[in-house]
Amino acid sequence: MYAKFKHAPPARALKLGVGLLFSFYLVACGTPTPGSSSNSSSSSSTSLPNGSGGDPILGENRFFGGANCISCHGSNGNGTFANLDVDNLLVQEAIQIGVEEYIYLRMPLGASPQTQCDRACAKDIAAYLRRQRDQAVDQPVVDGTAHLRGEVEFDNRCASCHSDERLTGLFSEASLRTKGIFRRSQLQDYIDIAMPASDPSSCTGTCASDVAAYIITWHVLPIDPAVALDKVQGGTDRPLRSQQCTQSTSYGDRSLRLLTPEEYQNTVKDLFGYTVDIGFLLPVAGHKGSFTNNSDTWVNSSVEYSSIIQAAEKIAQWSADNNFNWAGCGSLDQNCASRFMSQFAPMIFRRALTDAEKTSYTALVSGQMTDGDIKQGLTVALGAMLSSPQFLYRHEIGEQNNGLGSGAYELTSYEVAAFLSYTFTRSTPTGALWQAAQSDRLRDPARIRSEASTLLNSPAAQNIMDQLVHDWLKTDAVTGAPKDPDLFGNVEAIKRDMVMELSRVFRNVMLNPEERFSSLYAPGKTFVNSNLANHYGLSGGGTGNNFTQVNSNERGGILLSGAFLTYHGDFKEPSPIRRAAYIRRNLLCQFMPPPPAGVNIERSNKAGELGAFLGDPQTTNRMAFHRLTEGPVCLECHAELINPLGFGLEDYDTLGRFRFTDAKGNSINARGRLFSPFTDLQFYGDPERDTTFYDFEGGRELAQMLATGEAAPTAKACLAMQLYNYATGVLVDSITDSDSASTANLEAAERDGYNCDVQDMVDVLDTQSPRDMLESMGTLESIRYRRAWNH
Amino acid sequence: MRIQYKDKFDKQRRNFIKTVTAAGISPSLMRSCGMVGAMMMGRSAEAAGAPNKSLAIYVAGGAVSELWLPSSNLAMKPMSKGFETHGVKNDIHYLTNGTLTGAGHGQMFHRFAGGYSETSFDVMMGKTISADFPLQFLNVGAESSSGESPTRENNRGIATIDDPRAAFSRLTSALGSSGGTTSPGSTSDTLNPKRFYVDRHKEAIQALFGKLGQHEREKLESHLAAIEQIEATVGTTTSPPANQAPVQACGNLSMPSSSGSGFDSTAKLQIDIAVLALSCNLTASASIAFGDDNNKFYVPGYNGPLHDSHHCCELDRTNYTITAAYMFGLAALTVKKAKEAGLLESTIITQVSDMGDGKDHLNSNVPMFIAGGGGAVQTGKISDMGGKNQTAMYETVARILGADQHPAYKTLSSSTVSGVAG
Repeated sequence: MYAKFKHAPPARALKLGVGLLFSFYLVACGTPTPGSSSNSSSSSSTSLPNGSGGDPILGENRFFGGANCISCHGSNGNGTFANLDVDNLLVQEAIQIGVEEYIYLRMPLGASPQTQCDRACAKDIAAYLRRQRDQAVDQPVVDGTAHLRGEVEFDNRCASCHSDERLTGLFSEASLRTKGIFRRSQLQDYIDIAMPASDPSSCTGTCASDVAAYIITWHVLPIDPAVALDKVQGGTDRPLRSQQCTQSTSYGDRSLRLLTPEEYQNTVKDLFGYTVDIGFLLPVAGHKGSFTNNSDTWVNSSVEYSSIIQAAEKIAQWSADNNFNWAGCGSLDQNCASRFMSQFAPMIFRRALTDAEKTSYTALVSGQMTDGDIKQGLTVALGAMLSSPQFLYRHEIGEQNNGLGSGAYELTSYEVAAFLSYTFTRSTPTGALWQAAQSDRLRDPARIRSEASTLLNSPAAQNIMDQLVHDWLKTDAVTGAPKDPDLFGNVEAIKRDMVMELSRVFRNVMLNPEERFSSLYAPGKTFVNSNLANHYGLSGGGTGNNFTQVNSNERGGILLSGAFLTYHGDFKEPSPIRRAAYIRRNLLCQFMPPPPAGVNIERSNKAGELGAFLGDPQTTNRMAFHRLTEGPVCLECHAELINPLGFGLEDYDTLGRFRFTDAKGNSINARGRLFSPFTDLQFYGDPERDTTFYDFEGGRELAQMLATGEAAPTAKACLAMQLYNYATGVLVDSITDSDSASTANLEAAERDGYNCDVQDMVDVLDTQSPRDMLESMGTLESIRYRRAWNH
Repeated sequence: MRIQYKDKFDKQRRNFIKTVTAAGISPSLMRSCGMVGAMMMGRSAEAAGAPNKSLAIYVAGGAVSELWLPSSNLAMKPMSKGFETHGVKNDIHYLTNGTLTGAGHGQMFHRFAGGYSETSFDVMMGKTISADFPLQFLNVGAESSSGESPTRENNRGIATIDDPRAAFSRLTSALGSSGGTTSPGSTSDTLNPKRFYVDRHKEAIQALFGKLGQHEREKLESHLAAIEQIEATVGTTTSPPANQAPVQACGNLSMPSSSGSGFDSTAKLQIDIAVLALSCNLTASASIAFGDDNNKFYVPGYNGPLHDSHHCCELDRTNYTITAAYMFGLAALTVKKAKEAGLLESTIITQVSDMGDGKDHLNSNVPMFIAGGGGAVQTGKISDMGGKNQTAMYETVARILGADQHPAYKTLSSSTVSGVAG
């Protein structure tokens, strides 16, 4: 058993560590730039963003004392640096490289400044300036009607010169940068002082404030955290529980799970060779999260029970018709009856029979209840067993283990065997696994792992992995994603190949012991047949329809898979919105709410208003979506959580191909920014939100960020949670969501225990392979140890 | 009010017992044989003369009100033309200005219920007006299982039966024509297999009870209740009286057949099966979910998932009209089939959707209707729901059906839709 994680998971620690950094340049330069804490090269590293850390109190001492900044910066040390000139080359350099780096390289002015202020000193001073700046952020008065008044003022005073900006929704970033405008108060000040150009004194005070309020209802960029204070939208954030792991031992729930129709069919095939489709006679399989799971499926009525009996009797009758040849008895005599009881009955019940069960079933199969007719006795016994609770439910009950404490139970070897085999092969334990269960060898974690490893080598496990990724991401629906035949021709076969590609990628990452978590996302290699190789423009692709591994810097992992990118693509162009929303929902397990009812009205109206703009051949997909999603209703999710993330994948077209230009010949802008890389999404309308973000350039850097960079902790936790969900039916990804009806009723200790075990899975991902994580799932405490939780 | 509840169902019970006694059927036979029970439930209901069954349908994809809501003189619109072509436009009470407790995608649990933790309308009818029927409820669907089930009891979704073979097997099981009633293999006078099954299965369940927490115990209690219902039939004959010709037609059910393929074929089979279950008195509560909560399935006439037809860029709604006309055509076909089976006197059909205008995921003017109900529901007219949501429609129907007078009933909504009751 690997070490338990006893404190907040890294995702949370990360969140706390880097908050509020991105607006740093505002501090030192007076003419601030959009927050940019990390450039594209640092964004894909595992380190915290440039400028993180540092002690503001020490920094204050250094500023006024040790480093003697005060001698030049004087009272400007309060965080305004008001007199800095944006055209000054040194200031430009500070903007480019970051203030911490700038202090380290240049300050105090003179030779060898590092001898007076080393790296730690620069970090502390940067932290001090940051704190000062944060405390100095102005708090504009929220007035729900200001923007309406502002619209009238804008019409009267501004539109004659700025109608284009209103039409496109953009004042250019360069223009704003030059004027030092990055948040509302600065916009307001600028209007107050300088606008209208013909008569600056005609719109001051309230007028300037109102016009600024109006402009920011349609102007998204440059994104600045302080702009959020202007929003009238309430946060759509949902209350979250902290992800605690306070339990010394994690206990799962003592539970029963009905076999799904698939599990039932596989089981009777493996036990008896029965292959007739009878799954429709069983209770319909339930869903938990993304996966089929019967943890909440009941036998609801006598009608369902009758159908179950009907299925069992069909198999019993078929067996009788074939003289129980699967039992290998020769003749159906007392020896055969004994063999049935000693060999097959335990395999059907997936455990040794109790004495009472032996007595009643032995009497039946030996002919005592059927006038000596052993065949009929076997038939009825088989019908009874295959409709029995012992067979129908996967038991995870355990038996008392005093060493685990009062009320605690340990799964038996039989139960562990069933957990492993149904999780990894969706069928009953057989062969060596069954023998290990019979000899009670599955209480030893090492043995559990080795049996899991054997199962993971099976074709059944490969098939499960091939499908599991599509259950998780719904990407097999890419075959139904309509694409413009005029632009792309017939791509039906390509879309089917993409499903296979992603299956092969996922199977390889999850089952190949040489792979690491990073391969789930990092570009570098993928699996293609010749069609797909041609589609992606790869040389040396598979031959014919054989999928082979091909190296490529532009492909690899699930994010950059054709299936993910194409499924979340529109008819002609990619959908940055869906790509971003599903990165958050599926790849990061964040609660990204569905669009509220009616939200598309805005978009429809805007599409009408913006007809000319949208139809302009120079309007890119990015520009179009930017305009369609601006405005107060949309900003809540689009300003930070969706658009900056989805826009960063614009270098992959709607069929998943890497591109430098769009279909109209425009250069692709794939600069992206990942806000909220942790579990707890931060909505734009929340003035208290954590505004951590990381920049990236294009899909490859985003994939690397998920693989090994700043988003990796959340992505790892998400993979672990999905697999835990799959294996147990406990929706651990919703545990932090206190509104979640599926887990809100769990007892606190139970909930924390699940968190602990998910963290254990993440720990394995950190140090070993995804396959190691799968192999270790049967050794998790919440799997092996149980309580009868009341929820 | 409490006394009134008691009166209603006491009266029903007295009628029922009277009917059973008059037919010369013993209570044990009635319980043992689904077909006999169904037959008697039917007669009892006919004697009462009021609607006593419910068929709830869900139609995915919403509709544009201007293209769906008939004019005041019942001129149908492009999305509702199916009511005309199927000849049922006068059998329907159209509802306008309705909303949902949750609109849009990913919220399937709002369709028949008021929320995730609510018991759904089909289950509530199952526990009340259908409590004594062989099958409390039958919840079938086509392509409806991508997410949470619309059929719910408290926090638990009860998976919709999307496979018509599975749906049909529930009917045959409900008739008592399958499972443990005859001994497989050679026959023997000394062994009743069903007795052996239920004895062993009860023992197994009881051995597990003490080992589980509340949630898991409830699972076993449901299973045990199912076993005990079968147990009550052990040792009884299952042959119905020979002179019951009309119901005999239900004694030898054959699986309905359907031409076509995919969603269309499944949907039409499920309509037939639901209508069969109601007309054979196997249940008094059926539901059909036409589609799921993300509308990713394909329907005839449009070359893409249903969802894409809502959002496409053209302003004339050509594609949306094609798909909505098809989807509401299924609703119209359901009413037509019920009408042909003579169910419109005894059964109230309700229809709900997942939004109003699907293009904008609107939660306004959600297309809904109520049909059937004999004279107890006014049909061939339009009522304004005044912004009320689907639970008001269900509460209205529950009251017309008298389900609200059953002790097991829990109020679905504090408001009703006026102008519906006849």
